[in-house]
Amino acid sequence: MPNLVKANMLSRKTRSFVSIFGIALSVALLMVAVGLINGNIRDLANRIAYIGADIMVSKDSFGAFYPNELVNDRYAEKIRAVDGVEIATPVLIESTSYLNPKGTERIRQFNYVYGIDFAEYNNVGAGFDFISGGPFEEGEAGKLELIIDRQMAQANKIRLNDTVEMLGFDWKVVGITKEALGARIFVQRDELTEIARPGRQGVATLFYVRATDPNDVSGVVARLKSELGDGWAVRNINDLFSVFTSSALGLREFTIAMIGICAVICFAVILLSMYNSIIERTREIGILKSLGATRRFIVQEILKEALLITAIGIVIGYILTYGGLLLIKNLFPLLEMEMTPDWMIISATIAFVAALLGTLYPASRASRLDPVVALSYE
Amino acid sequence: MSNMDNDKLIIVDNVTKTYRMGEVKVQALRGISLTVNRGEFVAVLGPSGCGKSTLLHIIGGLATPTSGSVTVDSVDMAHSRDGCRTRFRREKIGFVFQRFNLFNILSAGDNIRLPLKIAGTLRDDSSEDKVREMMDLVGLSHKMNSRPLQMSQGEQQRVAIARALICRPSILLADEPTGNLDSENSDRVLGLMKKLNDTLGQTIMMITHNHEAAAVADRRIVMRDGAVIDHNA
Repeated sequence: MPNLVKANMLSRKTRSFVSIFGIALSVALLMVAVGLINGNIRDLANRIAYIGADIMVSKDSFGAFYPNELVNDRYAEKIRAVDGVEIATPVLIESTSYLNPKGTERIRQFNYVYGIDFAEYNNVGAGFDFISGGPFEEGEAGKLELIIDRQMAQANKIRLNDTVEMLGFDWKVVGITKEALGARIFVQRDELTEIARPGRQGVATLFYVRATDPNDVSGVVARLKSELGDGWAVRNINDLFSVFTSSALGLREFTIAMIGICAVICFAVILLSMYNSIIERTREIGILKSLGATRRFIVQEILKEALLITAIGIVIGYILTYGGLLLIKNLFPLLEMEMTPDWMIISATIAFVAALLGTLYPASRASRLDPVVALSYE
Repeated sequence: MSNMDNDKLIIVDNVTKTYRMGEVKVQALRGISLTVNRGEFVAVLGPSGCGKSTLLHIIGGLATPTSGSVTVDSVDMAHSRDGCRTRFRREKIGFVFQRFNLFNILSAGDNIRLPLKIAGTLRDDSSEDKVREMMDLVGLSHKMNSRPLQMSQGEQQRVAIARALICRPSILLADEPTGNLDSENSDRVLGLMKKLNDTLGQTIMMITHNHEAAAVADRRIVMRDGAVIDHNA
């Protein structure tokens, strides 16, 4: 059976390859960008969920993911007084750009550090599950202590009792936990306050709350909102992924921009490729017309070719994305990237729609070619 | 319509064709009238630029006349809409061109199958038999899977003839079919066209400027400067 689409693609291998690669690259670009963002947000939300608390309370001033306004930790008392609250523990959250065994090269790596009141934090949920070491010790005066999770220990080659550098100070690793409960790095809140917020005492970024009755979390949320009033954010931990994706600054705009870039690249690749192809094949279109091919037949053949190029491009885009995922996981073990079916469908839909739009003009032009002019085209 | 009119497959009546080339008007056809009977092999003879190809394009529905009427197999080609002329070309006309106009990216067999695909009849049970029959007819059944560029020019033109005939057209319109061929291949192609006319009764209208090629036709129409100067040379 004469397959003009396949024959055209095989006879113009470079053009086909470049077009397929262009589509694949734009699909992979979108999926890697969105996958990295969503992967890390989901990872953060999951880590917070591992804490086992039911509610997160903070001032309603979300920065990247956490609030950027500190509050007095005496609000913990007010929260504890609300009906249905069993435990409320303050956490001071700071960020660090490196954490490495002392004497080794500093590698830039963004991480959150939780300053916690160990006993209370350990009780707010499931608690720490140490695979080596344990809680903070009452060691020598001035010796700072730190707990990290297993993944961080492996990624940064840190062992129990190592001295590590962080925030300009030396810290002794006293415990390594199985899971990251909210953050990957934990220190005592008063020590973190002294280092990161000198001159201030008794401050917190947020409070994790456990409800007395797990079935009454939404009731406790409502009562906390009522008690604390305006300017406070009281969030069910289970809603955090959607809260982060909707409240993180610029995230929605970034995702829309990536979708736009993907669509524009797909549109331009197919438009240029098919337009160029129509010019090259002007005479062939004339032959088809002399054989009695209808405008619809010609449009269909061009559409089929564009959609086949796009379909192959999408599949290769998925493969590139998966390759990117493995590469990122290998190079940056603490970075999470996800490749979800919904974004596979979204990226494929964007590519198909953009390709379809990009094909319209060349296909319409081809179908309207004067057969006599087309047949005499050199 | 009388029986005599039924025998007239092509009726061209006072056809003119004027092209615009920028500000200049070029009159390619100047009031041409002619008829071609069913089963006739007619050669249209004339020097380059006399309007032969324009006449062929109008009869084949690839172009429309500026004035006058063209009736082919009882269809008014001058006043038909584009879709109607396209369907007519698909069902009633077979074109053969000087430069063969085969798809070099397809095999000979697939080139012949292409009109069936366009007509939507490729999946019919008899389609492969038709393709084999055509390849046999032009003596190229052993070249079914060869690409045009792997074949001689004479063979390519024979494939083009097979492609033109696969849908059993009422008329075969050949535009300088031997113009790119050496004398040996010209003789084979002309012999094939004569055989098609003699044995199958295929109506053929052939454009040529070559008197030797025109000699195989039953009748020769001579054109000069966009007009017919002899209907039966």
